[in-house]
Amino acid sequence: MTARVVEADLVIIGSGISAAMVAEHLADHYRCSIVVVEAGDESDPLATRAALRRRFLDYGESPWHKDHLDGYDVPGMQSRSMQVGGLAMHWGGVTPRFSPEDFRLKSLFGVHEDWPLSYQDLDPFYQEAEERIGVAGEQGPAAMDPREKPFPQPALPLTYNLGLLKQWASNAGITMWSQPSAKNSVVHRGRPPCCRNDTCFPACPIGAKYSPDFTWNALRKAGRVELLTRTVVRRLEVAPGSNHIERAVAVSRDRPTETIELRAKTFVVAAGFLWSAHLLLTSVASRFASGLANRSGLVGKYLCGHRNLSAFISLPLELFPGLNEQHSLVTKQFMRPGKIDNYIRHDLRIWESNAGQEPRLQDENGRLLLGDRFLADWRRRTATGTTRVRCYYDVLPDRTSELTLDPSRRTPWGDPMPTIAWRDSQTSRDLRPATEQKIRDLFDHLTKVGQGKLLSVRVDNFQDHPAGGCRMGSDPATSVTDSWGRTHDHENLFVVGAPTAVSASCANGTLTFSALALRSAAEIGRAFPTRA
Amino acid sequence: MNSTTSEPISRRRLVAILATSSPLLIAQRRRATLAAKRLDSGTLNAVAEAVLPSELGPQGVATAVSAFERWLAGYRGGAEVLHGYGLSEIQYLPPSPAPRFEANLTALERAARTADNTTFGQLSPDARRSIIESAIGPVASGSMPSIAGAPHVAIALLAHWANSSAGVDLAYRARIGAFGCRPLADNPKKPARVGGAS
Repeated sequence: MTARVVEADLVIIGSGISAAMVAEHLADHYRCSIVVVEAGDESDPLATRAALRRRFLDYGESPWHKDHLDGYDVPGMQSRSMQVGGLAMHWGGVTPRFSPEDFRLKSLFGVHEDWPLSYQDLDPFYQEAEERIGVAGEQGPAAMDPREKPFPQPALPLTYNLGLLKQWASNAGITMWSQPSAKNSVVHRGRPPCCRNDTCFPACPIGAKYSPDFTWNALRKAGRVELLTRTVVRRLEVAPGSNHIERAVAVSRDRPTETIELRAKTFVVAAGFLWSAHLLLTSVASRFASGLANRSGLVGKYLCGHRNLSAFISLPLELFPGLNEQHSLVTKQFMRPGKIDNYIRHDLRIWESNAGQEPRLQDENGRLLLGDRFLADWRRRTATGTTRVRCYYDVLPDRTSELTLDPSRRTPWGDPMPTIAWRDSQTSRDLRPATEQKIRDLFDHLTKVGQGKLLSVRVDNFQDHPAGGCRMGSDPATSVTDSWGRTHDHENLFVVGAPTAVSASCANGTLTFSALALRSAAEIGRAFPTRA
Repeated sequence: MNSTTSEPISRRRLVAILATSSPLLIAQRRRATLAAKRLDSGTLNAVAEAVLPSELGPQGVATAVSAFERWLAGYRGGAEVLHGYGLSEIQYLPPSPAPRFEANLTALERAARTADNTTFGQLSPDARRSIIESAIGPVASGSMPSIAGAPHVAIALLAHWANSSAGVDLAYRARIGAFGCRPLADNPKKPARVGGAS
């Protein structure tokens, strides 16, 4: 087997949003050569996205048919992410911050763990992420939504529908505002403002929503990074007799008989919650029998996310679903509980919806509806409005909420595949009935205030916005990395973004993962000379 | 594939590749393409006049029929479907419904000839609707099926129109323009009434 050697100051494994943030920050501020390694293919370029979106709308086809590798199916993985840009190629672009309480769960509420950093420590990196990504946001009440500086872009204006729904929420005693989003409200870095094409998930046809390919395109055009695609990093190796990471060993999907050795001063694992822990666990050596950075035995442990309850409520309002279905109202009113008996926290979001108003083939009497009867029936049911409401609620992870290796299943290269088990901590298991009842009570309250009708309530059991597996902490015995993402065991190995999260809050996590990655980048950069 | 020049492939992938490139599938696709081309526009138009709302008028019906024909011609059986939010299982579109729809239209013409010794298009809209209702028979559910999964071409045509932005606007009597590019500044405005003031 032949070996090709690639050398750089910095090797980043993965090309998702956290990797893009790290690479861009370092390329902007430091003189260092950067090689990025991506197992997947190039994502389809923006120029093709309108046509791909059209086929999604017309036929339901995936606009991201290259976002997975054959042989890498993991039950419970939540979504596919193996392509340049990772999972954030088909994210919804929703970018709330966590709340200050999220970082002090033990101190404030006596549950789970405190993070080794505070909201205030992360605030400048939240801001940097919002500026790099391009976030349009409305400042919520300072008590609920603290921030040092204004959002970089004006908020996406509320639709006519959301304006009415905001008033409804206000009548119910809930303060709501425009959901911060990585969708331009003004031109940003050459990308146009949103024009409500309303397919943020899965694909924005005009590039108004941020996706990491924009960052990679700019960095590559400027010659600031080299991005190797279709290259699978199989393991990291330490230098003999030391804990220093010497090289990453990869294989090209196009030339499997050739080994690629990636040598660098610093290695950054930015492969998401799933493949980051997997790489560390498969990097077994004689002195590291349970994998790298795993002195604590916690690599792959404390996988975290949040569950949700959602409901459809019919309201006596004239609403017009389709104005901008993917934009929503948000509140953090229930994320800042103050002194409480039970640790119950959740967010609340409200969308327009057409649930219960869809056209149908049969009326209540079983009569087939065609022609004018069909339209008359459809119109009759659009006379009242419907809204979708949803609460993410905190799920604190158990240690055994984990990723482990399954020797019975192998990658095409012979490495053991990961397997995932999600498990709530005892605290969350005990609180689950009360938490879900509190949310149901809130839905009932909203329905009553709006003189509406609760159409349905659903509990989604999957854990959204998954994170963890290499959690950060001050104590090497109970964490994998420090607050900067530097592994406790290897001074030149960083894990960035989602895997380092200690808990997953009750809000979308991508902006927090990006901010954590940028904070890591600030520390990683200290090893390199600054740009003039 | 040569394993020295490309990545190893799993058995499942191999089966998928063979399945999508098998002579049977190629023949199936060719038959679907021909069926889509052969679909009788006259009969389809006569179906549309019977099952679409009369408010569309002749021009609206013709537009809906053309859009449906384009949809059918563009259908790619076996294409990968978007894995839904929070899901990772990969699924594929079923084979094209074009041969089935072609047979539906042929059967409608046959029924018209049997009943009145005439063409389907020469029947009154009520008579056409009656034949269509007989052809459809009892439906399993009141929900609109997917277009490709519709049990009859008449329902597929109706579902395709109801799925369109024009269909939604007519139902709500408002210029919503769903999934179209619309200025952000218009967000707060109540959509204009279709055919009148807002």
